[in-house]
Amino acid sequence: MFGLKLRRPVLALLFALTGSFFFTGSVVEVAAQDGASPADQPIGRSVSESEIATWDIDIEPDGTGLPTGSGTVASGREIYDAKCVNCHGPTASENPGDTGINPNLADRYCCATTLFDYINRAMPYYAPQSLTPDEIYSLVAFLLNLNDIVSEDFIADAKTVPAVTMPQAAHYGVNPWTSGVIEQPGDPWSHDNP
Amino acid sequence: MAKNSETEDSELDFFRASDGKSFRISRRMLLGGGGAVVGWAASRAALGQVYNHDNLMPQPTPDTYINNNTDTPWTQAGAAPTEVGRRSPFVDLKRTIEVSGSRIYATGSSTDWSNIIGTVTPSDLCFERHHAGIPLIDPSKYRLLVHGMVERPMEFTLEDLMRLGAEKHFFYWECQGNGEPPRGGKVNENSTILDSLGRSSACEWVGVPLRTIMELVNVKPESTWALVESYDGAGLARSIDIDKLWDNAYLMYGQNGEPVRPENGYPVRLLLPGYEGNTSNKWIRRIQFSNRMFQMREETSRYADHLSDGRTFQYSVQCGVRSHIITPSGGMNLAETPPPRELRGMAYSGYGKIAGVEISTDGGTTWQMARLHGPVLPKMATMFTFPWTWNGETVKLTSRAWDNQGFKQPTHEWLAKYAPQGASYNGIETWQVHSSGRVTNVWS
Repeated sequence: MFGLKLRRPVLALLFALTGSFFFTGSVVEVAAQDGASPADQPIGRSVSESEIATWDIDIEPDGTGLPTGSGTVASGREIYDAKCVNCHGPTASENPGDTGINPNLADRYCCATTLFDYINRAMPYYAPQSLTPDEIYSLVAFLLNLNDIVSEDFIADAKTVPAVTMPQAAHYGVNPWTSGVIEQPGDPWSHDNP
Repeated sequence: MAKNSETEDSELDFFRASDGKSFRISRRMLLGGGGAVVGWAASRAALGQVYNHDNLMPQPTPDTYINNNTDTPWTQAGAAPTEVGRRSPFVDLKRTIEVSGSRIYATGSSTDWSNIIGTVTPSDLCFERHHAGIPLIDPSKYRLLVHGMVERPMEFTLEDLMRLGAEKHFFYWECQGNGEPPRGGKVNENSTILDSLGRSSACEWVGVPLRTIMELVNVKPESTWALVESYDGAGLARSIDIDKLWDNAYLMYGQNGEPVRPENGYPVRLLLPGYEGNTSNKWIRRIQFSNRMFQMREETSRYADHLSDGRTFQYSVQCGVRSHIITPSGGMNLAETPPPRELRGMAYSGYGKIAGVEISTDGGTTWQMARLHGPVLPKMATMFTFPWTWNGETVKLTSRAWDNQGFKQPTHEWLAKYAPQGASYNGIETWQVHSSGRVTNVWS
């Protein structure tokens, strides 16, 4: 009886010891070859600024990220008719609230840089990131003019686009309730009409 | 019994004769000849001979399952196993493909919760929304770039992310467009649970907390926002507040025990539990830390609240408390099927754990507690049931939930006042069972 009781712990101990011996042996072997334990392989890799630049495509409201180049309203109209009109329609207002750009641009944008950023990253739908900076600047000029935000002679470039004041910009704000930073106001179970 | 080949052949012929060339054993043969088969097999076993059933009956294949007679399955050999499992041919589970706006191509699919048994959505039934379709990403080429306001900009492979300390969570997530808001002061009478809950799903997720990555790159203390960007053709990008990224953000690579499905972000997606789904970037490729919002199209033009009074509210990302009675729900007809003996539904809070669900069967005059089926987990769907039988009369069925963070599922009136748009509409939903058995959606 005494022997039976002990058998399991002894076996477990034996297993643990041999297991650890084998394991230690293999680690030492690898360490002797490579100078480090396999577990010490670094996670992740430091990247240089030039590597980051190839991935970093966003354009910020102050113009950070905008490339050199420029475009006119007239050249933008040509590009629009060639590459955009199929989805967005001849006046860019054919599908309001969906692919409609006019008057969304006046009502629903706080920054003209957003327009450059979005066309650059996502348009045209069938070939995103295929447009040149000059083509994008041209489209920005054309669409801003179409929405009566800039004049016919506007030339879009890295300086003029961030300087455009979008009509809706002053009306942007944050609803503290829906952004989750305050407690629920009022009585959520009330049926009183607002 | 002799054991030469001639005898074996004659015995095989006995079976061949039953069903001609196909070797198929009919039910009649089995019933009539069952005793002979058993006696023959027993004698063969006693002699120690190998029994090769390939000579006696067709090899079962996966298709046997489809072809078999279903009235008496106990009289037939069943189907062979398959490497990838299948649902019963009697179970028809599908997502609902959706084409949004004027587009001619599908941009998503929805989960029909009336088909979900329990709270975990099977991976192939999870809802999806895309802005430029589903990208095909070779995991060996996948890279995540983390840079901006950090001490050490870094790039991570999929293997890197999987070697970091993992966490496992059950989370529900929902599209900003989930829910069926009233329009013009009226609810959609014909709406179904697909309308009010279809742009949401719930899964078990495995991944690495973003905090781990943020510590590796050493995010600078002055950083208040980060841009998260996707691998897809839309390069979908959103600005996220730094507190959410430190406290409650994950890079998920496992979903319901398998790699994340392509439509849900393979190989790695961001998951921000409780925030509208658009912020939980699928196929994440880049995180740039900053001290300001980036004003991307999806946070200025779309996914912002453009109110009728001319104001635009940004960053309405926080999802609230919701509950839905799923059985019965809109579009069903209780006169056409045996009516349910209990109400079943789901509840969820984007803030924390569901603390309670109440049911009213009298239009909101009296309320009784529903039974919650645990475990009740934070930011995860919770199943509830409530004993109820239909008496054949017109009756209203309403559920309302609250959570352990002090938030309540609000009325339509409250939402109209305090959150005229906001993320994921979660107004208290009432189904009316008409005396005809038809179930419709009513205001309250």
